[in-house]
Amino acid sequence: MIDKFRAKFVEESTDNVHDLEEALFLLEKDMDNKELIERIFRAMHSLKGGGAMFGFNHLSDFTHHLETLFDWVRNGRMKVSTDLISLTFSAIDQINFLLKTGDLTNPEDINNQKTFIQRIEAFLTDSETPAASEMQGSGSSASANQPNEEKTYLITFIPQEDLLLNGTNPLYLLDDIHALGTARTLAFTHKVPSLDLFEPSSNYSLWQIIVSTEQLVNEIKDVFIFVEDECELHIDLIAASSIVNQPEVDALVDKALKSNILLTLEEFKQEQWALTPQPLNVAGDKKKQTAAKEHKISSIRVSSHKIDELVNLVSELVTIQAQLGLYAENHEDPAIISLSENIQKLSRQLRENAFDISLIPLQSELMRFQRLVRDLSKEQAKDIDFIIEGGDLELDKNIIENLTDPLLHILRNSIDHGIEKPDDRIKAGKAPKGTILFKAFHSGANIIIEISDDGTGIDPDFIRQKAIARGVIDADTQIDDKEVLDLLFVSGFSTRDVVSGVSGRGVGMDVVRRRIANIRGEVSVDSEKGKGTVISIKLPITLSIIDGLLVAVGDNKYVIPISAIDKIYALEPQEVKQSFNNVIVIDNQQKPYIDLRKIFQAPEKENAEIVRMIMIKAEERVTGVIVDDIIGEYQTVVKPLGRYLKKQEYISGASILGDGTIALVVDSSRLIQNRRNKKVTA
Amino acid sequence: MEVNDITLLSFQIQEDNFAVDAMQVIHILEFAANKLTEVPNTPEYMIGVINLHGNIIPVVDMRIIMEKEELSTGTDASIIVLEPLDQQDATIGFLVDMVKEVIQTKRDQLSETVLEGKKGMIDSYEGTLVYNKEFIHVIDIKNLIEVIEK
Repeated sequence: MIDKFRAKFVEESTDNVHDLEEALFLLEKDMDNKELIERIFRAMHSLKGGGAMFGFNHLSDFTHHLETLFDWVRNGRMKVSTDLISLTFSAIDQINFLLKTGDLTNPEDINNQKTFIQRIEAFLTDSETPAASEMQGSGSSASANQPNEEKTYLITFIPQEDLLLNGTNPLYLLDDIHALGTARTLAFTHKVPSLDLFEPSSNYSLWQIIVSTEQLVNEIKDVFIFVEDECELHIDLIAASSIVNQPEVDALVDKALKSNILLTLEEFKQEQWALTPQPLNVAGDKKKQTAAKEHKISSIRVSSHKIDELVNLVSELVTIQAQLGLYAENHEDPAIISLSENIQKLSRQLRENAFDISLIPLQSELMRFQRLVRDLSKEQAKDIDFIIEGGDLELDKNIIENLTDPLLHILRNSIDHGIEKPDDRIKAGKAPKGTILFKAFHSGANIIIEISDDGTGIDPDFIRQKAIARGVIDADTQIDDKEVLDLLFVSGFSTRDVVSGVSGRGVGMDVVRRRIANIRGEVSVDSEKGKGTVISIKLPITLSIIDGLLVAVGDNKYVIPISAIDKIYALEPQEVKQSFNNVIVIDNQQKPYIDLRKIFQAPEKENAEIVRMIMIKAEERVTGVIVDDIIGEYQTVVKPLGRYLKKQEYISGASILGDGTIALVVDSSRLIQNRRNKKVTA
Repeated sequence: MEVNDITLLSFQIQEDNFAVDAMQVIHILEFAANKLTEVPNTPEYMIGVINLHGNIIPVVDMRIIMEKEELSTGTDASIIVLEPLDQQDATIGFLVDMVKEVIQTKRDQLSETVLEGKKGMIDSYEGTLVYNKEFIHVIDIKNLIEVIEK
């Protein structure tokens, strides 16, 4: 049971950490933004509180120190600095680590944690310099860590009726206030209804507290931090000294309790101890919080498992619907045909909705990229502007999961080898600050992600020479620059020791291509020496459904994704037989082809009158694919072949047809790639 | 049920009797060649995939795993669908000549498996049970999966 709560806590904390990171990024650009500091503080406070509650004691302890840091910032005792932000960023890593591992047991980890906390403490001590505390005003600077003089506040706490429902005990809050100093609590019960209307689970009481304390007003606010959305809260300074036990106050309190009328600021103002009260009303922030809260309710959290299940069920429905369609067609019963058409309409809508639900915005991963760019550019003393366009684009969650690593890899390459140091950039006549543009946009049934930088670019001649040296191509091979750049993706070529540091790009790009291919995407690179590099990734919007052309090869049926198809030709079988180098001349153009019947070891059909050549394109190259026959266009749900058939090279999945039989889905881009790497010897 | 208790599903591959842990069996299907879709460029024992309630399940011919020479399929041929314990995404079907019966027995009834001559591609067995004067070799599913995945 407790594990379940812990898991929930970790999940929620991940959101908090995410929020923290986001706010930190914004803070870096706008260091005086009070609202952001407040947001950061709040996230840390939740982490600390929740951590202690769910047994993440190390986490709680750690965040406590961090919180102190931001408490100082919040109170103006410390200024936001780049160092502070960097420290907090690395602290976030530690928080993530603690969330993942729970309480530390490994002595080394515990030691690291200790060192880290010492760093934070050192940071606190260092900032205790006169320069930093000047902002506090000359009077209190020397005693920055000392409590302030006693002041008296009037707290008006009007909870909503449902306060008790989330487990809050308001009496504990009052206890906390009493712990801050001398306090008098006034309970007002005039809102309690008659017994027949009384709901035992509702809260009808409200309170006013007069408290004299040495603590800052933020300490009072912190008491209410978890209930601030569920109550109306006013905290007002009423006197610059302790007045709780003054007889005048007694009189006011008595009057208020008798008349059931809340104490007002004015009543205190009339007394002699009053000072010009500074409105410390928190009502201002309250509006903003409500806005944030409403925003949250517009979406709900559902476990991804449930969504997977929904998508699976819908896929089943689509398959069954196809069966029904087939049956209706065969029986020519108008009633059934119209029923089947209606179901088809509905199931299509349902399918679109279900798939839409399983899409998540790219934004969720962008934080990591921003982080990477920030950390690496700091480390390498490079000045980089990282611009993101189209971060709100939505993609299948499985795609996003598989996309993160390749993207991180590409970005790392851009920073390591693309963008030059400021001095070198000035020498090359560029602005000292480099730019990396991350752009995501729709293009037909695909999503394109482009990562471009204005760095050194890639020298094609260098790649060509390396390729020749490595025996990837012959010295007299005639290939254009685009094809040269493509060599970067050939496995075995682009290893670190070959390219890194010298020419620039190409570290592990074969891995990137393979990973992208796993999610049916394509990656290509374009670069101009001295000007920069563009890497673009083309992805399907969703993994599990495709428009496909059903074809027959031998006894089997295969599906070729329509998005990959360019043209279809009818050929005479003789033409194919006579061709010796897998090239056919059509319209005076030489067309290379792959004979699927040979690759899939299908028996050649005797006396077939016609075969079809489907021109498929991938990464801007077109190749013909020979099949026995074309059956028709189908929208199909692609299912994975499972782990036993993973090694299958040219099949990317399977699809269940209307009659329950299986058609295999051809991986068109893999076919073309392998043909070019001469692996396909058809 | 005690830890010692085991439930086995026995089946026949030509003249030999084998069994698997019945708790990992999720289906037994009649074999029909027209329901099987061949996947090209796979090992010989991987004879294709079937559609089981909308899931694609690969099917392995146990006779090839056991290195039998006679491969004709009789009317009793069945596919045993297994969902191996503690493994992700590993549901798999096995074509056997005939499914026989479910046997309740105790683990200590198993003796060490001794196979004469050809013993196929499998490296290890959980043991052999003597039942109705016949030897039943209990297949180690984990090992079988490893062999297939190689």
